[in-house]
Amino acid sequence: MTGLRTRLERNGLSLFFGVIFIAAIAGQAVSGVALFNETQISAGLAPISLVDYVTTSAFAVDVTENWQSEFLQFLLYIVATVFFLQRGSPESKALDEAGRESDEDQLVAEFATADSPRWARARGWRLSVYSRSLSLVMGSIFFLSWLAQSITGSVAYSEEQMRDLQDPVTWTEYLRLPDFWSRTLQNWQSEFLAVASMVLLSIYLRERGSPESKPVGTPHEATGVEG
Amino acid sequence: MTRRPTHRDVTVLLGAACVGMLVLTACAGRPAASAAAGTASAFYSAIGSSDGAAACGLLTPAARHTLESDADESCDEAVLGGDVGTTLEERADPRPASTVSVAGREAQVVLSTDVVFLTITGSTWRITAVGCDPRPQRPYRCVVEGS
Repeated sequence: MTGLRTRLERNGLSLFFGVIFIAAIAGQAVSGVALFNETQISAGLAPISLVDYVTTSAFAVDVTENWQSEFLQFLLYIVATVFFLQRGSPESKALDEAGRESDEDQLVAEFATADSPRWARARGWRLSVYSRSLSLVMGSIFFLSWLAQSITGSVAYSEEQMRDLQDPVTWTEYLRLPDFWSRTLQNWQSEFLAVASMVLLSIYLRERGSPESKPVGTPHEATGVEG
Repeated sequence: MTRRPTHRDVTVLLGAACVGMLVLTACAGRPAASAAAGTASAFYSAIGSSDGAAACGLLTPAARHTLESDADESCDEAVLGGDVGTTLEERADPRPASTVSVAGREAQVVLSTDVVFLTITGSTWRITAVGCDPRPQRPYRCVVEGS
């Protein structure tokens, strides 16, 4: 029991977000099928079950349009914080550390330690890939989610069109329609605003005990300091 | 939202994404696209042989109800009589559908003489609108439609 409790405690952050993710997507499915069925019934069509709903493109596009924007947010955040600084923000590196930094600072190649990851120890393509692996993976998930949004979005849009006795559209036609760009940009703007707010508010505000905040007594000008 | 992601975060997110996509791509056992064309053809076969009951059996309940309300007679008679019957009879064509588009639970079958809209009802395709003419920037106008 003690071992299990220790494991739970040491993985609390990922477990917490995993549980609330499942709860939120379940809630999205339940409320989404109710909304979908309102449309079905008002169009004189039969309502569908929850199981049927979670296999629809209407549900998939609502899920993936949010996924792509979240992964884009993290992708941009990971890459932008390499090069851009913000005086006073704990989200920024120190003002003299912009860029990819030295091998010594990054503990790679001859500066690697005994417990450094294997791909960080020797120069070559593995080190190049591993040095960018976070943005590569987050970027890949972003592009796949955005692609999935465009495909499921075109199906959901065509389904609505035909329900309203209008012609369906192809995927390439859908990419030029306001529906695709409205879904995309309304998510992007909120993510960008949230990041900018965090970068700026964390200069002046504190959250005691959070690594996302500077220690409470740290001066506003202190940059690159995490709690 | 703005903490720096770790490898553990990525692993958890990837796992969640995989589970989500498995759920999303699960097959729901929907009728095939060709079955939508078959329903449209069967409807016009019934019209061609003056079998109103068979034609009405291929309409959604809403389309049947609208047809009966508008004509103030049973669907079996309304679908063969008046302007509706004349229009449908003129459009009855044994040639196969030229285009079948399916998106989710809706389908559009383009015949040489007509455009038919269908929806999944239960486990089969049923006709929501038939005898349809396009209008620029607006929905099709159909002699039979349920809403």
